[in-house]
Amino acid sequence: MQKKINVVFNVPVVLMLAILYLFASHCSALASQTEPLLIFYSDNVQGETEPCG
Amino acid sequence: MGGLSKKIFQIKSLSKENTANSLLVDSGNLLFKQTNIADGPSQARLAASTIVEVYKTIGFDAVAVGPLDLAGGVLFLQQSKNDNFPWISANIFNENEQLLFKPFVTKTIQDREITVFALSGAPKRALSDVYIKPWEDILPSLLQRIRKKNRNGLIVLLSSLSDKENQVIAKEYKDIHVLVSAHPRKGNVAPQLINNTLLTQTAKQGKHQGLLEITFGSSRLWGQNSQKKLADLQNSLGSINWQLQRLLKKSKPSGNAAKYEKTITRLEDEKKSLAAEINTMKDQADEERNGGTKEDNFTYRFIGLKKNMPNDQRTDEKIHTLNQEVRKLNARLKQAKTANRHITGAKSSLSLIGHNACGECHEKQKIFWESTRHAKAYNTLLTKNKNLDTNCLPCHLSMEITKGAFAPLAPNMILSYPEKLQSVGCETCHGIGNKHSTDPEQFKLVLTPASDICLTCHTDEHDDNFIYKEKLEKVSCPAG
Repeated sequence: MQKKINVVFNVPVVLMLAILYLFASHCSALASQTEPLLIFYSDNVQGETEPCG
Repeated sequence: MGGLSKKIFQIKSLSKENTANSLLVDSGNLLFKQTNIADGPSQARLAASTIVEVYKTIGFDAVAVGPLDLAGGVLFLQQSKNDNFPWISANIFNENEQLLFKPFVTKTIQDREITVFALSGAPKRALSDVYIKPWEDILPSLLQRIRKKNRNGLIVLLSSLSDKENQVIAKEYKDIHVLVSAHPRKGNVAPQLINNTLLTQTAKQGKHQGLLEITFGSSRLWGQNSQKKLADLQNSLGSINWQLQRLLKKSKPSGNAAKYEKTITRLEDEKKSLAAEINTMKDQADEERNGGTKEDNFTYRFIGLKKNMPNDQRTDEKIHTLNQEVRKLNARLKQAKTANRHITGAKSSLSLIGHNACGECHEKQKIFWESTRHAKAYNTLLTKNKNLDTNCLPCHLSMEITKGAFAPLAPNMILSYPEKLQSVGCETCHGIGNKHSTDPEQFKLVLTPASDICLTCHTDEHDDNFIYKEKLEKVSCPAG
């Protein structure tokens, strides 16, 4: 009896977890596709290391 | 303003959050301020080596060789290149027609190829062993080569060429999507779209970090952000409608009927053409909203260094070591110069007389000067342990300034400056006093210094609160 209850209870939970997992990975795949490229740029540091005081 | 340590902290924290999709580049003029650095050990070379070491720790993808980087000679750069520093330049050759640096680097970010190449401007220092090829000779074939490897990716040019040359490149080569320039005297330049090239750069001395955020379409052409453009077009249409209504409300002027009709026709035409443009732009905006845009879009930011930003600990350690090395080196230079003076008996070649000599006739003014911060300028360096730093010393000594620049003096001259000329004395503002002291009537000095004299030291980098008129009042000597 105990085993039966466990099986009945666990099947939908496992299914739900599987669906959640699929949904999450789909979302993350979508997010990574749309992530923009970031270009960090600078120039003319000209030997500057620190202020004199 | 903030220093290298703050800059490195900023870059590390910005790129840490975005390692997978970011590209970190510098378009050059990184190492030196002067156009020609003498051979042999010097403070400038020690500082440049530290900058290279620090930059290596943050993983730059590419650093272009600029003319100011060549000021110390090519050997200096090649040593760091051999040490895996990512220098690039497509037009620096040796006498055997061999490229001295990698012409470009390619990085794959989210399945997209990004190629970064560099064109270097000619240095003022004469270089016997290398030459800089004109960009016109190499750019067409180089771009072909890049395009073979990178068919549909992004191409970025790091350029230390002149403004004019950059504009011509942008107009003629629409394959170059981003051009980051390195003009030594320019501030932040917001991305300007020329043909299909975004031209931009950041302010000097590393005070700002530029950030371009690019959303890819498929065509490798820049869109103008259709939402913004749509809003602009709708504003223009509103303005034309308002003008039309105003004109139509008025009765037709009897004398100027032809002009009136002509204006109405012109406005009606403009209205029609704007309405058509708005419809096209609406479609494009819808397409963008649905993620089906063909064009690339960008936003940009300049992120400034802030005084309250934390320092990077590892960089601080390296700068501490640098300061110790600089003190050691400059103490040796100073000693050698002083010893030489004792041996030869030569007097200083400087013609400044110092504040004590001025005070012999201008006692009231000398007493006032002693109460100002100018009189304590050298002590500030002593307390910061920077009194052997040739970058700092000129602004803390009595120096001759002409046309907003210090009289050129060799580092060992600055280091062995006479004690009577330490701190910012009378002659910095009023001019050299030796002739004036012999015949004050014939050789008159400047009473009020022009702003360019003050601004030689009170630059944005060192004094962001400097307002000439306000500060002049604080240091103006009493009359009489």
